[in-house]
Amino acid sequence: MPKNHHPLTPHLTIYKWPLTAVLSITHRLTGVFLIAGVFVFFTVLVALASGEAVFLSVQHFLNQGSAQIVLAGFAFALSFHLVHGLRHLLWDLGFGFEGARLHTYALWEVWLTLVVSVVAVVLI
Amino acid sequence: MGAKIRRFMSRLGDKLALVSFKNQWLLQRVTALLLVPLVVWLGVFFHYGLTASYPEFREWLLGPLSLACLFIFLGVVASHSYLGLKVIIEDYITDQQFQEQLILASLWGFGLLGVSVVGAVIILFFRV
Repeated sequence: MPKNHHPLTPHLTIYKWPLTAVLSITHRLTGVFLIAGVFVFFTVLVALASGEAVFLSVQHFLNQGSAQIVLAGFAFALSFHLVHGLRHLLWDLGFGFEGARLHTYALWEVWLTLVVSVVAVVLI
Repeated sequence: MGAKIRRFMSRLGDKLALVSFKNQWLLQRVTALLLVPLVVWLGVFFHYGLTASYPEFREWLLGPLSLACLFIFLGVVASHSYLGLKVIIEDYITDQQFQEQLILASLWGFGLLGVSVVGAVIILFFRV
């Protein structure tokens, strides 16, 4: 089978991860997790199209404790992906590369994510 | 584009993207920007989905503004997700054949999702 000849990554278990690296990989992980969230969105829409009885049973399920925890997880993932995505757009414009402040900006990002997540959970 | 960079990209994925590598990068940024206001609409969607009665939710969703947001959200989120997933597959799957199969499967998956959503809206529209 043909294979790419990707360069090997440095040993991830040997180097200490900087916060910026943790946030970068989390951005990818939340992106994949949010694709599952798209299917929850789709389920609600299909339930609505299937009629009142189906919609009410899906709504009842989504209001259960365990489903609420998963939905809060989606809210957190979306908030993080949004905030980190905005940071990516700022990087693309050439801002936020000062080496001495990278860690501080990363911490701001984590706090902003938490605030946006809490607001989303409270409002929804 | 340099041959070295091209070697790390999926050949099939590159063809399926329908746009150049540079435009894929740009499209990912444009869809990201469009998703910022659409997230607010998504929040309202889930608020209604969790709290509203069936007629209330149906009436809100079939309103002109909400329906427009639904279709824009659908196209934008499918493009953004597909391009993001494609990059992840290209970065972590070394087997070229498996990589191309996964990219093709994700393209079909998002396409099917789009068609299903349009179908669901048509059914909802004609449901009394």
